Amino acid sequence: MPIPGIVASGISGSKIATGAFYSIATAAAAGGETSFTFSSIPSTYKSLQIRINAVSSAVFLSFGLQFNGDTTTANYFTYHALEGNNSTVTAAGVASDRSFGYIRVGALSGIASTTYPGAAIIDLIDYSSGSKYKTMRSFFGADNNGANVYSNVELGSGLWRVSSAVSSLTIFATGGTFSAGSSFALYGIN
Amino acid sequence: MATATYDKIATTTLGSAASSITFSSIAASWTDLRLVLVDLDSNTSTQFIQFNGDTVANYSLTLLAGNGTAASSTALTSQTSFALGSWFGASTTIPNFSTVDIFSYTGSTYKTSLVSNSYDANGSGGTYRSVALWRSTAAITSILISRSTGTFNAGTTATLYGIRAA
Repeated sequence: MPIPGIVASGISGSKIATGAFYSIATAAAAGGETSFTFSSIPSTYKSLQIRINAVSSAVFLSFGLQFNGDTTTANYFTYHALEGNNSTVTAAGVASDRSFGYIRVGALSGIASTTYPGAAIIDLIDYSSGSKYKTMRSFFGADNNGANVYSNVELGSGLWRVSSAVSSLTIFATGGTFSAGSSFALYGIN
Repeated sequence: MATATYDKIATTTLGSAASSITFSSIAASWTDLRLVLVDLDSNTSTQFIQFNGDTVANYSLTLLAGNGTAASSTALTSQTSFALGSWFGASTTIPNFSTVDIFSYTGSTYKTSLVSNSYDANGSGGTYRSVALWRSTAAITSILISRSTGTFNAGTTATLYGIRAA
């Protein structure tokens, strides 16, 4: 293919550290896990970012976040989402107990496959504050090339109604387990 | 404190109009890639991404869009590339801003990307969020950014970052 534009080639390994985005921990699924926990998170950063690339052999796998091992459903009940599923756009807001103790991030494509990953970027702002609740936002997407109607892209926000600093974080699955090939990475941002 | 892991791999600012931009010889040193494109368009057209020179219909996309009056969602299957956005207009002064987060680009699964595209022209414009799939298990070593018609104007910038996990 002719490439008449600018080619930035031959620069493999060239790295200029920006100095404000730090890898804290990473986990990879062996297969069969329902959760991954990052613990002992230092309070040295301003924000956290979680990046997820997940596959599952389950037909429908929903996942979300839990903080500091808190399973009190009332502490997680605020959740809003804007979602497109290839034909319709829906907005959802929950202002009462969702009956599970985590903040939803998204759901994989409704296809039992270990090759179609769903991906998410989750930002948790001012996580080390000891005086205010914690707000997160998420950008999730899963596409399966039309294999079914569950390809979707979802923007979400959630509130953990606890003032404590976040020192541990669990990525929590329901409806199935994570398969090998899934990866979870936690970053600190200054 | 942990080591900084958000690295600039390469960047370019066009000195003259070009029909495409390519990042090649991308090392497997990182976990994810992030492409940031701030482009000035010569005409109304769509930007597209292809990996590793693959022109086969291995790409698909699910899109959430808002244009100031309506929200919509569309799925495009078995495409020869995936779109970023920019259906709205051409300008040498109003940038169109896109980010493409490419997950596990050296992994053994198909490759999923999360795309954000925004454009505002003081009365027109739109914003897109989409998920794109490249149905290949090969590691990504090159990225081609192209347009349906026209060129990227001078002043367009494209930067590729690598994000490394612990």
